[in-house]
Amino acid sequence: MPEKIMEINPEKSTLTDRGAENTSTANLHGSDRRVEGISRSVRQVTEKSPWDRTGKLAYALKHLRLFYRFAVISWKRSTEYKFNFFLNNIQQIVTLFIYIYFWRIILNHIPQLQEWDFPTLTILTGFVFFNQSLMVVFWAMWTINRRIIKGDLDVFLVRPVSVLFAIIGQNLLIYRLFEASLGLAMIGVVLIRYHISVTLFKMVLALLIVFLGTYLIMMVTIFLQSLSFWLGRTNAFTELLQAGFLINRYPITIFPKLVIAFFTVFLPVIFIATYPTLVLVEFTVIRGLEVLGGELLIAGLWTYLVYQIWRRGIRRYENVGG
Amino acid sequence: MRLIEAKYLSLIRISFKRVNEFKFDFLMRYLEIPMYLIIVYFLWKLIFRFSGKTELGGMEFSRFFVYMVLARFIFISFPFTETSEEIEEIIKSGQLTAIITRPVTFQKYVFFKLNFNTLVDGLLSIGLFLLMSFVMGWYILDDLVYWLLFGASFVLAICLNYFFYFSIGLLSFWADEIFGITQAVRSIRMFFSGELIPLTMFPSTLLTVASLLPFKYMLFNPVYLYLKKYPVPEALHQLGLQLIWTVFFMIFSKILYQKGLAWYNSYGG
Repeated sequence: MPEKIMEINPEKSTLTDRGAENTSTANLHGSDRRVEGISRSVRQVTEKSPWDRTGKLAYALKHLRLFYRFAVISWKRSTEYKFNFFLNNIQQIVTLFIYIYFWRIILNHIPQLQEWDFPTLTILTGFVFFNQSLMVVFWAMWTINRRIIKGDLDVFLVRPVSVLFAIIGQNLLIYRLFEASLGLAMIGVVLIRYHISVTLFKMVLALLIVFLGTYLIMMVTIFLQSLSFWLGRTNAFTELLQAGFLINRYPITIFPKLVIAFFTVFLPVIFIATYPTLVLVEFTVIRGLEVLGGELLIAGLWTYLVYQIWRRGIRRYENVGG
Repeated sequence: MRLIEAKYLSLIRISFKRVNEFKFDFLMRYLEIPMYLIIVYFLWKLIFRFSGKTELGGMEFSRFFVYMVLARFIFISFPFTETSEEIEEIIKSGQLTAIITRPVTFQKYVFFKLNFNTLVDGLLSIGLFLLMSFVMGWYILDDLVYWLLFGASFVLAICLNYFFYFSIGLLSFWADEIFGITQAVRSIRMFFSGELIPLTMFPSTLLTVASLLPFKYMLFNPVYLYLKKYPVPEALHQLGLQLIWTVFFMIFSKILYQKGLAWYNSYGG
């Protein structure tokens, strides 16, 4: 039953293969054809794909299944306290109203902010909301530094899952996706109300940029939080990051070039709302694809940095007691 | 009688030791200021330019900029939703049982243990702000009377913020979770306290609404006093209103605490 062996323990593929070769040799000495068939199927299984050989696919699937379970638990937990759940949703509507009203007040004093008029500023706010909601869904990434200091990582280190995944996944706030839908709904309303025509491709492109932008910010956050392995409490970095988020509410292209560059590479919040809005209503598709390409490059760089710092940090981590 | 009893002095010492333990973190808090300055400067410079006006919200650009910066400096140092969250933690975890058996007043205990450093932070922030103003040539208040008015308003604002968030935290006696409430209050406060935009830029109806709420006295008033924008009689009137709101929330929090304590139960050690 070689396939069965592969299923149970993919890392043992080399041994299984060797075993199959032996079986093949037996066949050369005149054993029955069935053995040859088994040996062929073993080779087929072991040469399927690198994913199967290393077990990475199984690992990824396990995490996906876990994510789903965490999401279900999170939903049940947040709807457990009905009043709080209700208030949370009301708060999100109030905040959205405040953000939009802020622009209304500003535009009472000026006709428009450079090329940004009320509809585009509202779309920008919609994207801010969309991103903000995703960030809150994964809010536990802001607690990584505290867990490092307190020595709370032990409980995650003994589990057969990624430590980062476990920290973030276990504390999902899935109900905050309501805020994301609110942001998207706001964008939809503005597009219809102000007769702004956009293609489906542009919509998909804008959404891709927002999702990747959120991932980028998560990477920066985890990077700064991981500095706690060396520096202890690093709340200030979190506050610094949050101060940087302030700019996110405004169209970043109105700022000088140096500021734009900083918020594109080092604290890439420009991908959260400013670029998606521009891609949706102003940029050509080619320009949008260029933005996405650039974002992918920056995302790759930050992923590498996070991978390195986390790997080194976790080696340094120590905790005495339970 | 001593101004602060020895037991509370110990709590202050502990709170300072905590700051001292993470000096780097404490100092880094102020690093966000330059980033904030850049955002505010360029944004409002542009808005002023596009408006074609020399004044917005009754302030010319130099004063307007000082308003935004000082509001931020003050905002960083004031008690905030963390106070409510800490109280929620104390009540929900049952730590309150241990605290009420000690010879301390809960309100004072929480203030001296968790919030006293905000007073020090606040003074440090003002010092840093003045230093920056001096170096950058920004407006500096040069009137002793207004300094006194500003000082009084500043201390009252700290107290008002503290009692306000303390009261919200006490809702944990009844509510299963207060996260929704604190977040809702956070958004409303951001808007009506003048942190996002000076209240004087609001349309008149909204300005009237803002004047009827306590949020204005949490941030806008001290900053506006520093800018000498209120004439002295109006300043005294505003201080009176600020005092009324502070006393209101002080009494309200005491009542809530007494009612909550009657409701509170905890099992185990």
